Amino acid sequence: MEDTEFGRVRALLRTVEPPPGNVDLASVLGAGRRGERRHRLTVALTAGGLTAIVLVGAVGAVTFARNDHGAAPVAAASHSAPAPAIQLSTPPTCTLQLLPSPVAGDYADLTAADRTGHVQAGFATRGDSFAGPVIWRDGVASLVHLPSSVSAAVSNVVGVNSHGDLVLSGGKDGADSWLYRNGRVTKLPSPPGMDAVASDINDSGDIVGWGEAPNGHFDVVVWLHDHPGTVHKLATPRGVSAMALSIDDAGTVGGSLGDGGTPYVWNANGKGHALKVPSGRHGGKVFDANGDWAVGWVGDGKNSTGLVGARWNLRTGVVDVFTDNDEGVAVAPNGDFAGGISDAYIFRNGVFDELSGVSYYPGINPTGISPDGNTVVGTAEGPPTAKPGQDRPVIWHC
Amino acid sequence: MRADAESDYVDYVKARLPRLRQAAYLLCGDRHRADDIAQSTLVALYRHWGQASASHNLDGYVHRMLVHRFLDEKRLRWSRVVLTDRDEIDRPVVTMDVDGRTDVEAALRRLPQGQRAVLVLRFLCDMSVEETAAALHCSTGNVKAQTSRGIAALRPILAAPGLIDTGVDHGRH
Repeated sequence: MEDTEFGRVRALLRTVEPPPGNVDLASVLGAGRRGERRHRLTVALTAGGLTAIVLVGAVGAVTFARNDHGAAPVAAASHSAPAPAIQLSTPPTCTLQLLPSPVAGDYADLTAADRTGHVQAGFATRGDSFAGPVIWRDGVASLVHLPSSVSAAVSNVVGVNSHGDLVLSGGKDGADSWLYRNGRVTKLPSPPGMDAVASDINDSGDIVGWGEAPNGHFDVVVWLHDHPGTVHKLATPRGVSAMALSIDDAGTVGGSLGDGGTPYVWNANGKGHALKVPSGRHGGKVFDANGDWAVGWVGDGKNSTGLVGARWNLRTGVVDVFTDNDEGVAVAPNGDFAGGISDAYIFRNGVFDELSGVSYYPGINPTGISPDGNTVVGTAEGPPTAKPGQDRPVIWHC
Repeated sequence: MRADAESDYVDYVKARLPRLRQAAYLLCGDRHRADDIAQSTLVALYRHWGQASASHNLDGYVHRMLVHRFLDEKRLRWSRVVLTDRDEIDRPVVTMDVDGRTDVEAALRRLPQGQRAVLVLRFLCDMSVEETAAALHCSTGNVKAQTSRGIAALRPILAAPGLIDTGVDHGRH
């Protein structure tokens, strides 16, 4: 009986034909070849020790198509805007190191990083079960023991600061969040009529996230360090929905109006402003704001749902768009940043460098970057044939 | 990539592209996003063809890449498919259009994301329970539970006469 029903589900799914699309063998092959050439060039430049002049020409032409100052769209080949104010130096060479799990034999995901580069957090997996939160301090892993009343409900670690304060999420529907501080766990309250989830914590202990109402409206919310039992909403123009993904040590919150509708930041006083989206592009989202810089993505164009990496200078308002790179995920105070999905990169000293993967399957996701851009942390996905949760925490030394 | 390896890659893409687009479309429900997911998966596959083609289960390897692209494409760092234990089969997922036909696509879209992902991976991508669990970072028990709930939600469609023509099930469980 079950086999028959499975067969009917299989047949049912095959009845759904997607509308005609734009992806075909030629487009895939062309993009694959371009990507391989870019990869080869990066490797060659990294190994070659070429002069800065050569690097300017090669990298400028290949790894980012333009530096967009909000002028009319300009094709990469006919770039007429001022050259990027980026100083080039010898490209970094990053080496990969696996971080330990707290218990030999366990696997672990590294899902959060502080802004000092010394503390990271995530969760360990034992068998196919959640074994608990993990903190790495300067590469040394330790398991966090939660009260039994909470441990069964927690399923993820979304934020950590240098003091080891953790922001945890989980619960039914994944809509609950907790603060772990000095061995105590505090449930973070939601605004009335909303489910709120946290997304980041800064060194002061301020936490940011967003709450969603049953009608689909969502607001950015903040739990201040001295009153984690009280939740505040941040205002938006005309009260439109907004979400937040990061809060830095100065209290700057990064996110977007809507879910990627407009990249947006709020200062420590809760005053917000939209970030520039270059003409010809649409939408955007800040994944991380840190000091003068923010990184994330902007939409590829009106006829595409593709997303490309973006970096904003919050002091000058200038946005850099990186057409060959996926979104920026974590930015250092000096503007260096890490990003990418499955294929990770670092942008450091004006040069993109690929972050190598683990040999069996190179799916890697960066999470944080140190203030000097010298280290990036993240998770290497387990191989396709692995059992669930066989991921590895990793650090790249650049 | 060497010419002979690229030839193998081309043959693979020719054969699998329609199914990969179909899987991406069923996962995300949007033609443009499906194109982006399928394209980025195959571009990454080009880069890693040496490793991938040496895999004993190339389709499984590629399907896992696809589902990761789908999850990552959502651009939320914690947005893995939520495979909770909550009971989500109460919501109506089956509707009829004006001609009385069942709107299969709409019904699939109304499935919770976790259930839809599990059904697509297991029954369109022909991944085993274990492979599906690995791709979605969850337990095999969770995959089985989501499968059961998803099928329960679709049961009115599955029972509709003449809608689907099924043969013998050769899939893995």
